[in-house]
Amino acid sequence: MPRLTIDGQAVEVRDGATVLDAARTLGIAIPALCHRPDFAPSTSCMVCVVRIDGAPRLVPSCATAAAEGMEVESETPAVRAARRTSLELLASDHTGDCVAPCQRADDHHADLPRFLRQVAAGDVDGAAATLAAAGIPLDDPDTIDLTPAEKACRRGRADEPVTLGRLARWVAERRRYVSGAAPPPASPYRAFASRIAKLSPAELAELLAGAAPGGAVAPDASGRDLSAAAAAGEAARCVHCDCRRAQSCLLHEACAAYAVLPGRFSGPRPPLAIDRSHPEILFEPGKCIRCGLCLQAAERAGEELGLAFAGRGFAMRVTTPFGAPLAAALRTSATTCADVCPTGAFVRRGPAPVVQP
Amino acid sequence: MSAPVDLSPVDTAVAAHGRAPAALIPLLHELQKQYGYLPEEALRRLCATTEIRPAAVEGVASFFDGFTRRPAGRHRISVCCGTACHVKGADRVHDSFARALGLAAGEDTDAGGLFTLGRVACLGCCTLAPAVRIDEITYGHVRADGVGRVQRDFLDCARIEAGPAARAAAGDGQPVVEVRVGLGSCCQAGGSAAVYRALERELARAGAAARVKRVGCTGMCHRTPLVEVVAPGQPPRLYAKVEERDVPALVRRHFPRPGFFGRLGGLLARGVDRLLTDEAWAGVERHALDVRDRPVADFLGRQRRIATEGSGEIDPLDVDEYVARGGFAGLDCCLTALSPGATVERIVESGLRGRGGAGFPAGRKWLAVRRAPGERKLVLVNGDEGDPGAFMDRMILESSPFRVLEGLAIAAWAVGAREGIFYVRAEYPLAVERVRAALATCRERGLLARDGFALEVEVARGAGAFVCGEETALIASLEGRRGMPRLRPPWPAEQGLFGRPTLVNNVETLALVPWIVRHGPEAFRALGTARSPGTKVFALAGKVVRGGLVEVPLGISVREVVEEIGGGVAPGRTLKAVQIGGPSGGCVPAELADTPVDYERLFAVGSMMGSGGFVVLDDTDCMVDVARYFLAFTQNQSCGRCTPCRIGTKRLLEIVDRVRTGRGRPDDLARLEELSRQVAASSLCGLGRTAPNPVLSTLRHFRAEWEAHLAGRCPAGRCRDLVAYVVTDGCIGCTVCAQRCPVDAIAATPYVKHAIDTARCTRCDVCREACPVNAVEVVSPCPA
Repeated sequence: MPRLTIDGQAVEVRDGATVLDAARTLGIAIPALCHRPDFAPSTSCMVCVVRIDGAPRLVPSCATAAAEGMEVESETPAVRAARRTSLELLASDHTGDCVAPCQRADDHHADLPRFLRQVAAGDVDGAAATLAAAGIPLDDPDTIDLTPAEKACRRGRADEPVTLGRLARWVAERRRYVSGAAPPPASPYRAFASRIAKLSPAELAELLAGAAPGGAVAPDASGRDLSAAAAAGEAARCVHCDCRRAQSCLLHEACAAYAVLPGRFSGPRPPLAIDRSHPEILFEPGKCIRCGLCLQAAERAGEELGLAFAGRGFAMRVTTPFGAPLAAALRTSATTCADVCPTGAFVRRGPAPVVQP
Repeated sequence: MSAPVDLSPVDTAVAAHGRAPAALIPLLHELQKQYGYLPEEALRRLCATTEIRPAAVEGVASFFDGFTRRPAGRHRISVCCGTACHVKGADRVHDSFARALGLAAGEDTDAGGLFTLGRVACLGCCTLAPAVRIDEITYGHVRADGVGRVQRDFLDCARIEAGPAARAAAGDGQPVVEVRVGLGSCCQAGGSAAVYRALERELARAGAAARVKRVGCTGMCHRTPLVEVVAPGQPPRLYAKVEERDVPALVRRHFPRPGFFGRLGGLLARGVDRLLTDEAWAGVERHALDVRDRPVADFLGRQRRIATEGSGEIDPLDVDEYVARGGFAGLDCCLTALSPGATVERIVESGLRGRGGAGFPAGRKWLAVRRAPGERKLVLVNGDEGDPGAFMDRMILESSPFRVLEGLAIAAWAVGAREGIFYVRAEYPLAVERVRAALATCRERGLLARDGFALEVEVARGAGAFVCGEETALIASLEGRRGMPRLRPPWPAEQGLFGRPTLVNNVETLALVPWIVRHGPEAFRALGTARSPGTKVFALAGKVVRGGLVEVPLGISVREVVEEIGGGVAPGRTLKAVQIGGPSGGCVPAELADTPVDYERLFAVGSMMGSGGFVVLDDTDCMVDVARYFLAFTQNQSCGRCTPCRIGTKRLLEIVDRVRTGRGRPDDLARLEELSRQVAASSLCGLGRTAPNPVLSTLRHFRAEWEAHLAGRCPAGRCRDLVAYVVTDGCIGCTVCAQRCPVDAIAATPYVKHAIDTARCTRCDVCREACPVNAVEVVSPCPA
C-alpha cells in the first residue's frame, strides 16, 4: 500500500496502482487519451504526463507505478505546458471539423447534421426535437430561416447545398407543438474546435461518396410540399462533415480543458479520407492519434487479421494486414474498436448523439 | 497476372527458424534475401504455417528499413547519408545517381530494373566519405560527377571476395614473414580484397616464405588499404593506400626472386631489387609508412588501446593468437579465482560507464541483474550501432570478435546468465560473419563451456531501425515485434527479453571488460577522469586530415583529438566546431575546443558523449544544415509511439526547413527553442529526449548563423535555397563547367567568361569542382 503525494496532497493506494489511479482517487483530473484501465498502457499520447521527485523528464502517469514516498507534480505550470504542447501537436495532425460548418453558421447553432440524419431515417419526431432543442420556433414555420447554414453547407461546394430551411419548415409543418428543451449548457466548443479550412476536390469527393447523389430534390407535383420520401432523399444529400464523436471525444475534451490553440504548431494536415467499407463502422484516419487501442481490441477479440500499425514515426498509421478490407479484418470487433477509440477515427454508423455548438 | 511466386523458400525458412512469433525477423530476413523483397503470397504462407499473426507481419515488415514490399532492381545502390558523408556532399551524390538512372521524383528503380537507388543511414565507412555501396561492394570518396564511373566499375567487376583466411606459401620450415592486410570494411572499400588476392598470387609466384594474413582495422582508415610486412627480426614495414598494381613491386622488395638474384645476399640483393623494380618501386615507396613517421606516430601516439587492443595486428579469427596475447585470461581468472559477486564488484570498482551513449554505470546494471529474481537470466550484446558517423562497434566486432565474446562470457558469469545474444546491425554483414565464425571456434574449442559454466550464444541481426539501439526497443524486436521502446521502469534488468532478467551492454563496453578483469579496476581508473574513467573509442571524421577510429583516455581535450591525432583541418580552413555524439549530441564550438572529453563536461557545453561520433566541421560547414541533418535523421527514425517525438520532431523539422530555405518567420527561433524543450522533456525514450539537442546546441553556440538564415543568408554557402553559383572574372572560358553541368544551366562560349543560369542551376556543385581555375564561386544571399 504505497503512500505518495500529488501536488502536496497525500494519498494511499493499493499495490500495483498507477500514479494516474492515485490522482483520480484524489479527484485530480489528469487527461489521458490513450489509456483504458483494462488495456495494456499505450504510453502514446503523453498527455497524462507528471513530474516525479523533481526529475527533469516527465513520465506518463498511466504507466508509472505509484511508489512509496513519491512526490508527484500534476497541476504545476510546467506540467500543464507539457500536456498542452502534446495536445497542440495532436491537434496539428488532425483533420476534422468538431462542429459542422452549417451548425457553426446557424444563428441557433442547431445540430443540423443530426437533424438531417433523423429526417433521412424518417424520424420526424426526433428531427423536430433537435430543432426545438436549439430554440428554433417550430410553431411559426414561415419564420424559420436557415440561409446562413445553407451558405456554409459543404454540399454546396459540390453542387447545391442541402435545402436546410425547406426541410426544417417541412418538419415544423408536421410537428408544430414540440416544445424547446432547456437551454443548452455552456459549450466547450467555445474553448476549442478543430476546423478544416478548405477541402481539396479529392476530399470533397470523399465526403460526397457517403451522401445521396444529385442536386436538390425537386418539390412534388403540387409545387410546394415535399413527400416524406422526397424529404428523406433531400436529407440524405448531407455529406455528414460533422464529427460523430463530438460529445465523447477525449481529444476535444482535453483540448478544451487546456485552452489549446489549434494553430500553434501547424503543419500540413493529413488529407480527409473516410473508409466506409465496413457495414458497422466508419474509419477516418485523419482523426487517429495512433494510440493503438483498436489494435489491442481486435487482437483480444481473436480476429484472424485484425489491425496493425504500418510504417514508422510520423508516417505510422493504422492499417489492415495485406490491404484487406476493414470488413474482413474486423469480423467481430468492429464496434468494440469504435467504442475504445478516444477520438472520431473509428465510429459506429447511425445517428450520432446531440452536439452542443 | 504475374507469375505465381514459388513458396518453397518460405517452408525452408520456417523449418530453419521455427514457428514461434519471435522468429519473425529472422524469417523476414530470409525471405527478403530469397526474393529480393517480401511478396505478399510468401507472407501469407508464412502466417499460415507459423504462429505469427498477419498483423504482426504487417507491423514488423513496415517498421524496418531492411524489408521492402515491392520488387526492387537487381542491384541496390545505397548512398550513405552518415554525418561524414553528409558534410562531404552525399545529397549531391544521391541526386547524381538519380539523374544517371533517369529516375523521376518518387521513383527508386530504373526503367530496366537493373538498379534500385536508396539511402542508408550510415555504412560506417566515415573516413571514405562520401561512400556508396552497390550490393556488397563499397565505394569510397565518390564524387557527384563520378557516379557513372562507379556504376560501370560495379558492372565490370566480378564480385570481390576475400580469399581464405591464411595460406602458407612455399618454403616450409623457414621463418615465416607475415604480410598483414587490413580487411575491415573501410579497407575493403578501399580495395583491400583485390590487394589481398594479388598478394597471394604474387607471393606464390615468388615462392616467398610468407603468409598473407587478414587483420582487423588499425583505425587509420584515412590511409586504406593498409598492408604491413612483418618479418622476424626486422621492424615491421607499413604501406598505406596500396593498390593492386603496387603489389608485384611490394612483393619483389621483400621477397627477392629465387635463383640468381635470390642467391645474392644483403645489400646486393637490395641494390638489384631496386634495379629490377625501378619505376614501380618508386610507387611503393610513396606508400611506405613507418610508425616512426611523424603523422603516424601522432595518430597512434596519444591513443591508448584497450577495447581495440591488438586490432590491426592479429587475425580477427585466429583464436590462438588472441589467447597468446592474453585472450580468455580474464574469463579464466573469473572462472577459477573470482566469484560472480567479486566479478561484479570489479566492474563496479572500475567505474566503467556504458559506452553506448547514456553512460550509465555498467557495474550498477550488472548488480541489478545479478540481484534480480529469476532463473533464466540472459545477456544481450547491443551491436545495433546506428549513429550516423559512429562505427567503433563495427570495427571491434570485425577486428576482435573474441574479445567481445569473452566480455560477454564474463558478464554472463557475473550476473548468473547462461544465455547470450548478439544483436548486430544488419548493415554490418562482415561483423555478423566474423562473430558467427568466432562463436563456432569457441564452441569447437569449448571456450565458453568450462567447469560447470556453459554459455549458449546466438547471433541475431537487426533490420535497419536506429531506435533498436534503445534497449527496450531492441528487446521488442528480438521478441518479433515492432522495435518500439517502452517506458522504463520496469528495467530490462528486472523484466527484459520475454520477461526474464536481462543485461544489455554495448559492444564497446563488453570489449573493455576482459582488460578490466585482467588488469584490475585500479588500472582502469588510472586512465581517464574520476567520473569518466578509462578510454573511449571515437570515430574521428569530417573535415580532418587524418580520420579514423581512435581510442583515447577520457579527459583528453577536444582540441588534442582534432589537432594532435587528427592533424587538424585542411590547410587554409579553420576549425568551426566538433559535433560529438551524433544525433543525440551537440556541437562544441572551436572556442570551447579545450573542453575535456568526458560525460559531464560535454553535457555541460550542450553536447553529449553519445556513442562516440566525432565529426570535425570547418568554416565551409553550415550549422543550420548540420542541425537539420541530425534532426532529419532522428525524425525519420522515430518509432512513432509517443506524440512529442512522432509529431514534435516533425514540426521541429518543418520549422528548421522554413528557416534554411529563407521562409523563416521572425518568431521561429523562439518557437524552435520552446518546442525543443517540450520534446526533450516529455518524449518516452532517449531518442526523442535527445533529438532536439543538435538544434538547441547550435542555437546556443551559433545563434547568429540561425539569424542570418532568417534574413535569407547562409554564411557558409551550404543551404542551396539561399545560395547561387556565379562565375568570376577568373574564368578562362574553357567550357569544362558547361560540359559537366547535368542540367545545361551554363551558357558557354569558348574563351568568353561563362554565365550560370541561376533559375536552372540545381546547386549540384559539379561546375565548381570541375573548374580548373576555381572561377566558380558560391554566393549568399542569392543576387536579385
